[in-house]
Amino acid sequence: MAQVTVSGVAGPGTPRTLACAALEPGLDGVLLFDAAPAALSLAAGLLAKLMGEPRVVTLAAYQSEDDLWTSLRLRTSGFEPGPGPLVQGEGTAELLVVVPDLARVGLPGQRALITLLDAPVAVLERHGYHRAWAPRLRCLAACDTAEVGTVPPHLLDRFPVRATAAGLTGRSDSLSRVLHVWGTAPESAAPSGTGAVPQEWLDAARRARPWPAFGSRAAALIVGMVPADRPRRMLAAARLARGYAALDGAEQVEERHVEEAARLLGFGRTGGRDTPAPARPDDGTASRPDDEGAREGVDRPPAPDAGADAGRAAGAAAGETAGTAAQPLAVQAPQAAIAFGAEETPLPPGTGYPEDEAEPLREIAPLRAPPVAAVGPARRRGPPIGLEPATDLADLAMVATLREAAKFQRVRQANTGTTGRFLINPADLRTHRRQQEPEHLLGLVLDHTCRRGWDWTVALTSHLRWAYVHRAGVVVVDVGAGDAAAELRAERFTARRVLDRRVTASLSRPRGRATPLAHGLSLAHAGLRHAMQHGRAAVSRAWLVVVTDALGNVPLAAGLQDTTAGSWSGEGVTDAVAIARELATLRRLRIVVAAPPDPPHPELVLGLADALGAGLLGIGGADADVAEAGHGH
Amino acid sequence: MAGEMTEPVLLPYSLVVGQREIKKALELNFVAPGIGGVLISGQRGTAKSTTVRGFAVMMYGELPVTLPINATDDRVLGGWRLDELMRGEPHRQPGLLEEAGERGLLYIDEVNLLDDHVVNIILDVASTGVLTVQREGIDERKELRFGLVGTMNPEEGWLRPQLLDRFGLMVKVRAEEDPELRREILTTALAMDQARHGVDPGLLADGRAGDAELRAELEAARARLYDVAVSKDIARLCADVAAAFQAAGHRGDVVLALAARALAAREGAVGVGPAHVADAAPMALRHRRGDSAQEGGTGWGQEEESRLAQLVVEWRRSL
Repeated sequence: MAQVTVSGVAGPGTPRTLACAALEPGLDGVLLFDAAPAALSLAAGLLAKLMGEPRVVTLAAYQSEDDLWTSLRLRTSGFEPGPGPLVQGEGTAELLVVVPDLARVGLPGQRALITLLDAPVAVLERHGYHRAWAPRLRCLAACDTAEVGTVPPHLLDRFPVRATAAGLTGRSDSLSRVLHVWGTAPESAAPSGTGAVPQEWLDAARRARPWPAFGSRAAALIVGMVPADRPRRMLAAARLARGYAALDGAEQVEERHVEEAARLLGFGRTGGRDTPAPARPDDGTASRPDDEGAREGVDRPPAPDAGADAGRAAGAAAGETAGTAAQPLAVQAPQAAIAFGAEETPLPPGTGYPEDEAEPLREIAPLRAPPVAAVGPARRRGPPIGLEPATDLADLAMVATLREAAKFQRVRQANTGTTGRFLINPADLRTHRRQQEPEHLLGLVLDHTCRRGWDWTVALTSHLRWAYVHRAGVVVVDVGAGDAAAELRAERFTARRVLDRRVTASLSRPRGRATPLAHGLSLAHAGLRHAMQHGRAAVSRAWLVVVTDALGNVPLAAGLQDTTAGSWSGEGVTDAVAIARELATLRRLRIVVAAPPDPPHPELVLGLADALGAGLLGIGGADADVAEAGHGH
Repeated sequence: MAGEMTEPVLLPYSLVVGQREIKKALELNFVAPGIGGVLISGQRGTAKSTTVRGFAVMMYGELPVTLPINATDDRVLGGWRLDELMRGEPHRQPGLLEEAGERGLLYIDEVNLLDDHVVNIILDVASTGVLTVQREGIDERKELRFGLVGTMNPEEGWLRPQLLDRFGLMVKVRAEEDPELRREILTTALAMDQARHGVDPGLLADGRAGDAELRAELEAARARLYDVAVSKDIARLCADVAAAFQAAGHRGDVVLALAARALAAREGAVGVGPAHVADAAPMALRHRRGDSAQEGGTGWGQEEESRLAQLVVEWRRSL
């Protein structure tokens, strides 16, 4: 068997945390930061093994509420309705819900998690069903630290247990997977020795021992280290500490268990990153960091993207990240790539709950089903997120329509005296409720070399607000950014909405030396044309805001080829004007130029604006455009 | 179709630590059902749902009629029993609104996450007292009365003023800050974990005993509600307070008077006093003020308390 490797920030800490989640009923939501799919798969495998034989359900971006809560099977006798995968009945197995990417799970999935996690009772009232039950589940979700700002805080609060799984994978994992696919050599790939889940963990998870007592000293410690406005975190820390005590076989929760819980959750009485790792979890000799360091740990703001970097590295090594995983995740047997009982490394202090500091990049009321706002072609183009009664014959949801009609078949056939014909009434027709595709588009060309201390966000506010109000897609072109990969080339990205952290980041990139304005405008032209004219594009109205002083000093050819060969003399400006004229020909596109106060050559700005057919911000004359944008034109 | 039930084990109401405001509002709503319900808005993890469910189990012996955010309109309005309908045997299945009408209470967890069309249905029925169903071959009209109890986290959106007004009382909940209470919350929650798994050295029994005692108190208070006198002067005070805080509509003063009366009944007083009115005013009025449509508009702070005290002083002088 290949060498078992566990590397990264908290590999071995994560198994122990997962073991606690398996044995503590209140720890039903575990969030793994920056977990590559392979790591999440291994973690899910371990949790499944510790839980016994749970039914595994994967939540993805595409599931509807009906997919999750109900089922409809076609039998020879007709349709047979039944409960969906998230519903539990008497005597059914525990559930293990795996969420490959919490930031991208669909709204129905998010709402389902709100319903099920940390809830003594769940209630289902759908399509004739009434069911109330006590959920018995664990949910293991992955999330990129950098994406935390996009997840509703109400949902994040349902995951009080945090860990990072960066590095929870190894070569042996890949090998065993390949061998498994080939159906060969299970013996050679089989786990052995250190890879097996410790028997005491399994005993603890199966409640083969009494619950450790939780005394007043432990309670006081927990209360002292968790802010009062975070009650779920307080309970999570206490349950985790009790779990650690159970894994250790202790009769009561001791201070070291509380400290271990606090440390692995990234808060509490621990020191900084240099805190020595505690001893093996099963030898009962965890180190005791000093109190001074503990307070430091509580108060310190999260280290920016420490976990994210590790996660990205791990994701890159694995070839993909959880953020891009759309397929249901395979739950792998854990033994191959997890070394139990090795040294632990906790979450860095203060990083367990990055949402406390993250910039909120989400809609207002993100857990509410969006209204059907679109009236144009976009209404029929987004991915389905639900169903509604149809008012016309466009975009019918056939299965839902048949299901609705199936309910009444016997009655209708009896009433009409027909047999063998499936009768559908207009009232049965169902149509897809679709996620709204952007009907509006905002293009931003940001010339970073013109900024020189100018706060351009003021000039952009109206258009950014317009983009938010209309849920517009965004095409951003960065020109002359100091951190650009190639300084002679502009860079472009497309965001689904203005609340994308890349848009925010673009607004404050550093200044570079070169100004490839012509290349930037050509990228904007191509990007806007693609968004407005390609395929089933639904954009009906677009704004382009060009923020520049028009001092382009890189010819288009140099930008395209990323070369400084040849001599230049004003080609950067003339190329930009030429491309501006092409941009001006795009239909349904309104353009505005925002120039810094007192540009060095106002005539160049005017010339560029003239070529673009654009209004001007900052040099007067475009107030009407701004007002129009600001009022949701 | 009745489903199987995996019996939930709930924290007995009398064991809920802290959260005096939630408890007070729920109890007043029971003593005086005319109040029309309670909206509980507050931080995450503050035992809002736990308290409501525990209260329902204590008072009615069962979970409240619950409208979850995943409900479809056939379950809200009523429809057919699906399995029997598939077999060609149409049997009516009452909707949640009908069930709530029979039991007097509809509980909506995460009320601010409900789909708009479900909110519209509830508003129609709650404001008219009539449920009209004309769909799927059903043509029915029923008169219904029920109180609404809703819980929500305001971080995830606010409610329309029309829906806000249907809740008689509103409380804003914060997490308990007192370390002693927090320790008690912690140990109770951990003990409940064990009790749910059959390791219970008497916690549930103690809780049920406490519940029985409290239930008897509340039933007695409810029985004597209309024995509690409400003088014309107190009625005037209620109207003055509602007017001074610019409560929208006419429900504010009525609910305030009812809640004050229920408080007096709960305390065993013979009549409603100004202290009862002052105590009930924040719950009855905070969501009916002019700015209550906005999330930040339901605060009730020191300024409001001072204004309220001043109103009581002026009222005393006028006697």
